Amino acid sequence: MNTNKDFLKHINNIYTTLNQNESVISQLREKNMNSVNKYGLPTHRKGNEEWKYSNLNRMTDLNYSENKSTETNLKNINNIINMDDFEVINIINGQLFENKINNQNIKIKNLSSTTLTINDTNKFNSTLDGENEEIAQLNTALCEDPILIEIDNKNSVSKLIVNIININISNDYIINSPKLFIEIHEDAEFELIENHVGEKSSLYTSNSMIEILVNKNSKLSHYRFLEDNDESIHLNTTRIKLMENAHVESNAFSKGTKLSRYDLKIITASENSYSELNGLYFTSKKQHLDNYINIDHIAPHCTSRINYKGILNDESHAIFGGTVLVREGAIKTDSLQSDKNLVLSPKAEIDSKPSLYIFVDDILAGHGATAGNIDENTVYYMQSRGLSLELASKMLISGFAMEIIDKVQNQTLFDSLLENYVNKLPSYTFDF
Amino acid sequence: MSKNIIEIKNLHASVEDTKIIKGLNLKINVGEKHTIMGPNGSGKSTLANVLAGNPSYTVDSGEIIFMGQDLDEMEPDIRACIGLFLAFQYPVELPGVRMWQFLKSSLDAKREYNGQEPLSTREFDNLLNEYAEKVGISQDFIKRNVNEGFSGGEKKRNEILQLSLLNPKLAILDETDSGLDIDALKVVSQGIDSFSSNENSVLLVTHYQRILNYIQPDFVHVMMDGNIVTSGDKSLALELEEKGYDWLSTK
Repeated sequence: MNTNKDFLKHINNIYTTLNQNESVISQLREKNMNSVNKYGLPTHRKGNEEWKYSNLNRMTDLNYSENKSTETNLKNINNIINMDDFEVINIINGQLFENKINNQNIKIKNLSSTTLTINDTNKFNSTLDGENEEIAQLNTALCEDPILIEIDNKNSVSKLIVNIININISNDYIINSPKLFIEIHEDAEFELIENHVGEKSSLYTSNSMIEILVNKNSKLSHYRFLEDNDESIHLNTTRIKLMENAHVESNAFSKGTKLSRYDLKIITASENSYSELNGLYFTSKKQHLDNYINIDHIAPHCTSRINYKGILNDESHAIFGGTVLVREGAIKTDSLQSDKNLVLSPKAEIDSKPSLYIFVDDILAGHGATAGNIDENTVYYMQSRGLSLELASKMLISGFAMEIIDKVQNQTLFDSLLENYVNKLPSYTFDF
Repeated sequence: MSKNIIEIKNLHASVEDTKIIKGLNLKINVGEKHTIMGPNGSGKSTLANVLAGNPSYTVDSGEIIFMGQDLDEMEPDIRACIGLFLAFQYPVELPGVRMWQFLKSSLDAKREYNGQEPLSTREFDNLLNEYAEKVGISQDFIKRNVNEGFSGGEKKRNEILQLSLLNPKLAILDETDSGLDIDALKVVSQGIDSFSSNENSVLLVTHYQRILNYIQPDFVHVMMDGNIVTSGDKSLALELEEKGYDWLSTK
């Protein structure tokens, strides 16, 4: 149990302020605050595999302020995504700020607009299964403005950008706890861009939670961008529950922050679902980035693919962990899990530990992890064609990243990834 | 003015403290085709790599003068830019690097070094299509990553495509013929043959005589234990085919 008393006191103060007026969310907040107070936050220690490499002291040891800015001028924030054919909502410091949805197929309810009913609130946290939930509980105890989104279209694709924005003018950190539940109804198709950003000089901890229920025969294309600023703490819990024949492709593009942890779990609740999880992460300076990617294969005949790649520079530290769990009933599961890393600096560290637990015969499953720097013989080959060391290394590093970027079907996003990732990747300093 | 492209004088080279090349001398003039043959471990591939500047090899002593310049300490990319080309025995896969991008960047780098403007996309495409067709590389391959998932034969054809595009002064071919079936061998040989002119030179390193049915060398050298032990014309290759190498070591 993390025993930082100042932090616990701070979060209890926020909770008390939030819950002083009775609302449909009061009970849920209360229940989760009690859990946090009882069990605390995960501890970084040997034997605690889930948190072996990430230390939440980086978050709890900071000084926090309770006064959140009500600034809503977004002019100074880079990387907010707007695209012509997408609807957009902006969540600022956990609060839904603008809701100008024209598409009738996208219905949004939230606490602050009083459109959320007590029945709706039962959906929140319904995808949790009782394991590794401390961060989700913290989110729930402190959630400012839980948002419920329903997608219901038959013959078209609904497209939504959710900008999760953080702004703080104080010299102490603030905590924001955006909370979303998205239900994609049967036979619907949904493209979601989830974009985490912050004002450049703001100090903040963003602890967001997103649950997505992908109903029968429906399809989700999910793009996640972690663009929070250098000094920020980013925690995110994402649960995607797949019903019969559901299809999800998730592409996560992450840049490091002071501390970030992406806790993703796919739950195959019914037969014949397909999930493909691609990720590209890039860390530099003293950043710490933790990908905790899990698949819970419950139902039979489901396919899952995990393909993550990391580029590490300077003194940064990245982690790839998580489990593919194939439960007793999940016959004919087909699962592959891979994490590859390019370590550009001798002081950078990668801990890649994909794991696989299988409790049934008659499945296909594999996993692997690699870490290495740029191969000398490969560079020699390129040099022998006239390419300089610098250009050769640049081409190889961007080539490494392209394998994930190539999976992005949306042309606008693809182009912006080229601009924002590939053209900004470092070159490599060779010591041979 | 001397017509020689490359002159190797008393070359000693090693890899990880093991001496491989022991006092080798060789001169290649413009327009000549030379073949180096020899048993496994005789130092043929080492010679090819030392010439191209492979950082895994160390030149202990001796001189390599290429186009009038001493290659000592010269980076492999500069060697390529001044006109040296090595077709690899084992071409390397470049994950995520597209063929088109790789070939265009290579040619641009060479042209820039030599004070020429880069080709426009259209000019380059025309050139690329012409050569790709000659070596039987389809448009499909141009969109793929360099050598990734290519068969052994496709990789070797790709080396010949690069040779044609970069149009070097000296082409060193390191066992380009090994692992090829008869059809691929023909394509590769024709590629080398059509590159070869009286303005450039070829140094072909090979195990087998069979490629010499397609490419007529002016000189055949036999390398054993790090040195050239005998040289001759094409008939020497035929003699080797018949007798093997043993008779030379006991000579």
